[in-house]
Amino acid sequence: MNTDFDAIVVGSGISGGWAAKELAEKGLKTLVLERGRPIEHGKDYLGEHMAPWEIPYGGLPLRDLYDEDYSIQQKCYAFGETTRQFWNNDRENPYVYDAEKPFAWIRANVVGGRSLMWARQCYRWSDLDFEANQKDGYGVDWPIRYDDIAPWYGYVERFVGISGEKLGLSHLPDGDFQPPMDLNVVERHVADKLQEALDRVMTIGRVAVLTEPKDGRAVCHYCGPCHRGCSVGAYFSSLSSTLPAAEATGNYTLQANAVVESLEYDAADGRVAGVRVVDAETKERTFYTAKLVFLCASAIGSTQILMNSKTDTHPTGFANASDSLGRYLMDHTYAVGARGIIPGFEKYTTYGNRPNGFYIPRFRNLSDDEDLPFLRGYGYQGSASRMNWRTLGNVSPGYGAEYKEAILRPGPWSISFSGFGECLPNADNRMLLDDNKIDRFGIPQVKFDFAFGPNEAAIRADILEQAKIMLRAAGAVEISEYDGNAPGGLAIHEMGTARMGRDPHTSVLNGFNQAHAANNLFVTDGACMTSSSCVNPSITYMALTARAVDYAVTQLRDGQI
Amino acid sequence: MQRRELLKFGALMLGASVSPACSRAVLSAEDLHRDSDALGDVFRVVEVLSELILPATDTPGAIEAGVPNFVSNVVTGWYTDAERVRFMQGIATLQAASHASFSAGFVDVTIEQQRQLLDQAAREAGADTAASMQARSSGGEKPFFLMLRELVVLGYFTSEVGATQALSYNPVPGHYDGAYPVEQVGTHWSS
Repeated sequence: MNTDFDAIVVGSGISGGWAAKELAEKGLKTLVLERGRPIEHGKDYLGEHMAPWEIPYGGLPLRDLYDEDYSIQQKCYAFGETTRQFWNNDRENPYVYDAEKPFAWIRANVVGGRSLMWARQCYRWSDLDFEANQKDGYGVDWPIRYDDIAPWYGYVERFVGISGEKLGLSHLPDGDFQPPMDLNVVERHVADKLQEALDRVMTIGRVAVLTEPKDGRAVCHYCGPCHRGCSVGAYFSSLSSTLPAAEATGNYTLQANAVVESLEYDAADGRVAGVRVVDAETKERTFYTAKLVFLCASAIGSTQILMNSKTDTHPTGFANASDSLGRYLMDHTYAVGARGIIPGFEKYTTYGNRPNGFYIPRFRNLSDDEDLPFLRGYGYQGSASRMNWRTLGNVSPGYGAEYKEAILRPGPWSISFSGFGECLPNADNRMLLDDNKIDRFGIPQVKFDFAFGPNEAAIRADILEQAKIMLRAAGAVEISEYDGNAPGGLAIHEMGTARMGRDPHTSVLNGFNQAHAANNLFVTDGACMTSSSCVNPSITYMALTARAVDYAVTQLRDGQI
Repeated sequence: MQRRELLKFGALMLGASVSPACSRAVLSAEDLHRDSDALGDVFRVVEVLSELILPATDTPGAIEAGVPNFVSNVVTGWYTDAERVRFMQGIATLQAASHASFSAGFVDVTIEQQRQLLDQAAREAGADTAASMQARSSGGEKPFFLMLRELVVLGYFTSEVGATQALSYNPVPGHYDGAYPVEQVGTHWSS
């Protein structure tokens, strides 16, 4: 097999899929290296439309198997028998897990990566986010502003297909949207009350699920659990969208089961010469070369590769002259909020399983003069639905005909507000390699040193308080708060560890996601993030990736790379 | 198959034959059972209990939905040894109470007597009234009545009969309506 390409992309998830599509469409012979096993769109979605009675043990977790092989992945809400085939086996591919200071590394192990199981929420960042570090002094300044990325948001949104409502908010810019999905009758009621009582906005989630057909992909048929896979491609994934587009160019080669061990740096040339790959099945080693290398292996995965590419001239990992590699790891607060019952809508239910919820955009610290005990802010996601037998069956007393009747009817309307809070960049929150723990490919395992800090704690407290205030304003009863103290990583918005910045002394990448250390190396996944905003990050990775490819190919053609 | 499996486990609980894999269960079980009639025909007991919990009404009952097989599968194939012991202990307690009160095994007494016995188990679990349900603390070991009821409910509503006849099953709805009249569905959606 040919081992020399114009471009190599490491990873085939959200970011890698975009890099592959853009590079291939610009005429570069592009190799995508994916450590997971190959799967085929549609054919391999084994859990799609699986009936409840086809799922073993009614969906009870297979505890022995999960504890043995999926000790981390089973913590994710989307993990189960209908999706297990997509996830990493934590026994085969472990990292150093510290139960005392946990960090949950949620990962896929198939072509398409986590784009198959992602929650599909897409929100643009604004200058409130891009200027945050500069204003309050946490982290370094972003080397870009909203104007730099805005056209690229539009560019990727038009291809992805995002349904959503335009709001005209400067801190949550509108995108190029398909028609929005609907709030249900209770959510509409709550939205009206929040507007009226608190002047706060509740909108339908901006979601990468089609409400209009697009490029051979069908509109959503509202079966519900997207993360099992969608053979008609109603939600955006690498398998439904970017990889087929790359393939259509004739310039695309996919190598699955290809674990990238490290990069080879050509010091004389000042460039990355190629990547060292281990075949996950045969353990055979291959060296691939290319003019451009894009790391899109996920925030943790890409930095693991950089750290494992240390040389005499880069003793603490490649591209780490700034000592920021591995540092400033961030994730959003997760599973913290409140719920309540909304009475008065008992004659209504819903038809169809909407793969989306509501969104309450950030309303804290929008101006500099708010006197709050924390910096930055948070948004809420959630939905209203009628309770079903899963809840009613547990809380109802007794047994028999009356009990049965009570639990098979639609229960009260319940609504939940779950807050996603911004996480400050902190040098002490980091990932490292453990040279004493080597995986089955001979690669040092990742270990984490991460904890949410006092600012995130203050944000959590405000999330709880404001959720209750909004529930009361909406007329909710039986209000209760929840905070599972989810460890970092579980929001699956892990970011940072190879941040962008203006100064090579304090950052790994420049304003085009290009490594300060080698001008033909780009990192465009979550690793590049300089701060974390409070919105779901994937659409930003997509926009940054498309922008970086455009820059890289222009530079290549101009002889600058 | 399920019936045979459950009977085999019943026998194991009595310590009749011990394999190393089941030693934990049997160690605990030895203290629980005084005589070989302690458990009776466990599968038949599960059948009666399932139908008592979710009886046939204008929708099918637990037996028609295959719930006893589901319960049996979970107890024999999914439960840990400790859970299995607690479940069998619950059956044995029920049998002992039946013999003490009505001088016959659980499956042989009248349905009214079976209800009295199950009422007692529900009371002991703090699950007999709305007030007691609210007062229950969620921590600690789950009492037998709730272990059983949870399995019966899960098995029923995830069965083909339960999902399609007691609930409304529509795997490909095609569109979304966020204000749909309940009367047009009748019950609740399967999910």
